[in-house]
Amino acid sequence: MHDLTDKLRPGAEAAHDAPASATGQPGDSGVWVFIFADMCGFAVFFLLFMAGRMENLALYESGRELLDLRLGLANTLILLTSGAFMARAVRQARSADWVGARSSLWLTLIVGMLFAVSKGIEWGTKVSSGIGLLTNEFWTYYYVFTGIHFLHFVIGVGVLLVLIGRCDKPIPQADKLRWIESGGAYWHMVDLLWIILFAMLYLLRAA
Amino acid sequence: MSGPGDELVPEGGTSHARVWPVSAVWGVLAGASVLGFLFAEGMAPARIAAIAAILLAAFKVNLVISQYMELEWRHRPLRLMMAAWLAAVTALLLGGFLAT
Amino acid sequence: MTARVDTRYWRLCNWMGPVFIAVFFVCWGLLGHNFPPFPPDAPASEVAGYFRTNADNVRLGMVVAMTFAPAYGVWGYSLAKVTEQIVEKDSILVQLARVGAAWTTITVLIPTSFWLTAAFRPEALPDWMIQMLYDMAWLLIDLAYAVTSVQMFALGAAYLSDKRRVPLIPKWLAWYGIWVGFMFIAECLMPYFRNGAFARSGLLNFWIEFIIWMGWVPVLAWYNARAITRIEQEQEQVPGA
Repeated sequence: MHDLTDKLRPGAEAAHDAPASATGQPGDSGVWVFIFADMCGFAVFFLLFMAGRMENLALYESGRELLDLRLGLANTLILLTSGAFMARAVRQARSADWVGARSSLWLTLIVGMLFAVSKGIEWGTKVSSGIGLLTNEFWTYYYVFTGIHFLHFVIGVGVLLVLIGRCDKPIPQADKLRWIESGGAYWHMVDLLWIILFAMLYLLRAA
Repeated sequence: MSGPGDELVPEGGTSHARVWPVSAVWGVLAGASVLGFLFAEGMAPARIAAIAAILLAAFKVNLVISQYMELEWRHRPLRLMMAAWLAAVTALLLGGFLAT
Repeated sequence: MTARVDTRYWRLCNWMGPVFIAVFFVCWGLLGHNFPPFPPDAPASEVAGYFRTNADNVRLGMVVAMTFAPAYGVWGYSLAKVTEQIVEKDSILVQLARVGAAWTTITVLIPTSFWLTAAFRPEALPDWMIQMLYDMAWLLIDLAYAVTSVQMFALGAAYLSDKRRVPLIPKWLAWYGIWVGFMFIAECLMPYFRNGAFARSGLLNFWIEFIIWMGWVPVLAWYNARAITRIEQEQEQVPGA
């Protein structure tokens, strides 16, 4: 991607050894409890969906066929790109390049907002064609799981705005880094959950 | 190996994580996403396409965990928990799909 | 934190949390047929039949549950006293933690009175009316989730701001509480479903939601008790009477 490569400076772009915190994992140790608990919650959602699909394959396939795979792919690429900027922000923060980190966070947010636009178009199209939460089990799960995922996305937007504000604050660098790593981990969780949702909802074409 | 950002590492913490360039990670993730999409659009028979989509998703999630989140294997037990989650979800999707 | 505090009664109030959960489970849950509840698509005759056959048990369960409902609020105040040693005494987080616990007490008291009403003279009520009282109680107890979320978010935010090298309440527990408070939002789906995972008796909106909350209470009470001990040790460093 031409623009992406142009924007990257050698320090942030090249493969490098990124110093990790002495406590081990990036970010605040406790936030990983939230992240893992949330992932487990979504695992239950995946279980519900697959169990329902096993019981009523024809219903689920008829629903899947009405999904716009191109929009699903667009959503995926948007979140992956946004995630790339987030990853870059963390690496810049580790190098104490707070100006760069701030820019990367803004790019994370701006690109990420395209996800909101895309979901709005997708849901709007479905609703206006009469497909709602209670249409059938497939659509219930579709709206609920993508809706709860979108709620996580909205919270992530709030987190990004806080992180952007923190870049300029005169607080200890180690604290700022921990905030950005923690926020980054959350944002990547939003990303990885969508990767599974995209495969599960859109791509499992029945034989 | 000293470098910028060392002052951010608390005293005694000198461990490092090996990560790829961000654009390289993005390229692989995007490519895998497009591949999964093409499979689902009819590039391969349905069964193969769906299995490929699930395995590609697992590959992508693992890459996000290791390269975006930068969780390394030395970050046990967290990395193990994430790996277990991914294995369970992948098995769930594969098993659920193949059972129909 | 420099002023001395009197920690008498803090521990007693703290253990009211687990007491509440134990009483709630047995009285509201088992005697009242709420653990798990009748599914929304159960016929009115089934619900009414249970209340007519087990009226005495339901009455007993609800009477005791209502009596012990304030225990949750009392526990919440114990948490708030410990939280005052983390953030400043007049912090809005402390006040929100208190009022969230108090609101939760009310949102337990009122629906239990509806179940009690259904069991008061069930032989004189039509089936649909008993079912309606049962539904009304569940709609309130579930959809009042946000008052408990307020308590959990306030506590979580306060615990995360602990500047101690070893926080009074561990950060993982703070995050867990925030996650539980956030998860409650799935209860918004409950009025739309008569069966399945999102109904009041479903995997998500009953089993997961109630278990993650009921598990949080005794675990936090345990750590709160340890925090009280540490506060008392910190007190010994403070000059004063």
